[in-house]
Amino acid sequence: MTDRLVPVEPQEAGTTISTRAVDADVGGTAAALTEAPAKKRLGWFFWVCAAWIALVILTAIFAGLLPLKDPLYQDYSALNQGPSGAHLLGTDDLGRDIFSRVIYGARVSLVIGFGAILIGLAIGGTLGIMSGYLRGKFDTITNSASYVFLAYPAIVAIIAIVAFWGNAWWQITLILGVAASPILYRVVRASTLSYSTKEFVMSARALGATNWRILTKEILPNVLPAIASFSLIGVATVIVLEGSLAFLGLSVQPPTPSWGNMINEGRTELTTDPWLVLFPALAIFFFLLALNFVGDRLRQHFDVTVGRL
Amino acid sequence: MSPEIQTGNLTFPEVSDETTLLEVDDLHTTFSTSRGPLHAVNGVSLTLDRGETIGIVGESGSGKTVLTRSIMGLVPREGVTRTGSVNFMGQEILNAPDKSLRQLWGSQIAMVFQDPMTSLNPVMRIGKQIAEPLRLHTDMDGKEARANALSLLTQVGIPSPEERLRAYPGELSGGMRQRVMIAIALACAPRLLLADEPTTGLDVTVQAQILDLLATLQKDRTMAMILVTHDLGVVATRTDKIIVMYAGNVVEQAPTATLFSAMAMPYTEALLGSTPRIANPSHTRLNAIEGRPPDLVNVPPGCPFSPRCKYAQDICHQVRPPLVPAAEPNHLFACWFPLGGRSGPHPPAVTVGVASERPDRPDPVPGPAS
Repeated sequence: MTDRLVPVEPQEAGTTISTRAVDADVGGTAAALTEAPAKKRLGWFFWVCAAWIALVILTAIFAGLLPLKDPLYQDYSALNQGPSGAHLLGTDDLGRDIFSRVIYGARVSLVIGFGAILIGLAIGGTLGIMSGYLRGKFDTITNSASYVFLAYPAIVAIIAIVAFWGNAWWQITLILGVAASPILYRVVRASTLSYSTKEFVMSARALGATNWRILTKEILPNVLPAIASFSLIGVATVIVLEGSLAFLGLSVQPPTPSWGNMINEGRTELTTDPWLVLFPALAIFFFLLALNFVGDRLRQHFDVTVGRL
Repeated sequence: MSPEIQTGNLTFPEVSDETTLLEVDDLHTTFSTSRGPLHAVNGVSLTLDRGETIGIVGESGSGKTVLTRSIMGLVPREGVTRTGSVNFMGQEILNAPDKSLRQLWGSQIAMVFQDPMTSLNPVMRIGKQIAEPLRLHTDMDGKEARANALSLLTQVGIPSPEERLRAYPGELSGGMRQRVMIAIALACAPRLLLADEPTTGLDVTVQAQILDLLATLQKDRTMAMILVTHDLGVVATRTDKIIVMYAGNVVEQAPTATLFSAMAMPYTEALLGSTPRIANPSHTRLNAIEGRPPDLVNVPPGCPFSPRCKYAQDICHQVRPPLVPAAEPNHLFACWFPLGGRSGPHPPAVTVGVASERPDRPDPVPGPAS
């Protein structure tokens, strides 16, 4: 059996090597195959961004343990002060320390941002992958429903519901999560549709795999990288959306700080004391930038579908 | 996953070598489209014994792929009607529920797909993909399945298989991937392998290797095979019988040697004529078959090949020729005016006179030495 196959080996071995490593000798021996493929590098900027995200998340979690000033303490002897040794990022119009408010504010923004996207994925993602794979009536109904949801201006609906229902952090998270689900549904469904028609899905079926197995083992792992990277961008969008709600005074109520309501509170002082708005805005900007970059880089890094040339 | 095997209601006893493995009778597959019913497979019948190989030949769109998928049951449930009979090892499987078919797929009937670039899951390691059907259809644990996967990779001739187990499909060449596909299809030692143009996506040099590999493995396992291709050269030396399909119909069916020595259907001749020949001088024009296959929604009356047939006469455009036996055993063809001056079916009385006006024709192109 094996003897008969021997003559084909050198030729095939040659082909493999050439697809794996550019510098490998095409006529090389099997030993060349044992060399580890060149490691993909993420680059220094990725690590800066990842460290920044980690720092923001960790300080938000452990804010109570850090030697920070009380974010709610009003120091009437230091109103609207610029950055200084005593107040790293200055104080607001009530004399509260902006540095500690930015850190405590991250708590609200992060919980709502990640929480809403997780809820959105649970609803939209599950429906999307089922509808993209199963098609038929289920797809027609959920697909039309998603268009109906998307046709309605989300921000108006959100404002109405928040005003009617309440604006505790968990209510905001739930509402934004539901609002995000039609978009996540569409992304997941589109991605699932394109993978469902691939031959490897047919091939898995031809090997006797059940629908559940095909969904979880064949389609989900393929769809996941795209969803994960889109979700990080989604987190960024939700944080901005929470900021907009806060700006309208509809999110978590003062005095609890969030990045959004800090900007809202500072806007009246914009001409005289711009740092009231500047620092929370920068916090949003750099955090979102880092999230987007890390999301994109991770997707590329874990993409095993491209040959390691 | 092993409960899967017990839940089905089909049972497959061990069969002797003489038993017919697969018997397809008058299989029709019709897709409902917005333009009306599309008859992709039109009354195909075939029998396949254990260890035997049938080649199905025809142009793109002649219904070859739909035929193999209809036999296997891998067609969508909605919008597709299948009638006729597909009898696999004594069981009618044509309209069996997916649940019972799943125990058949992979373990008794397996399929090798056309494009090795898309038929492997790009984000699952090769070793896992080979072990999957083993885990599904047998009670092997992970370790045994892995060991089996390793031996399968060795059998299909992949160098340093140990490392390949951990590779992703993107790290392998096309030929390698097709070998992996074959390893996956053969994992549970199926009795029937459907190979749907297994070499179309590959380099010519690799094509022969893959076909030889299939032949070797087939002999070792007395596995029956349906080899679908558009290349008569491929099936000439590797099959026992050949079925030539055109527009969803069987137009000629014969044991391989008979087909090449006593070809009756002009379409078969045209197909063979369009194969490039090594003996021809360089830059010889390929003999393409003029025109296109008919629209399967509006098939014209008469012989479906008549618009492109250089021997076609009036009756060919009006009345479809039935599939009739030729002088040789097991040789069937559907043509009013078969090649080589043999007698065809009797054309309907209205146009009988036309047959005598048939012009003389050259002998059929000799087949490649087999």
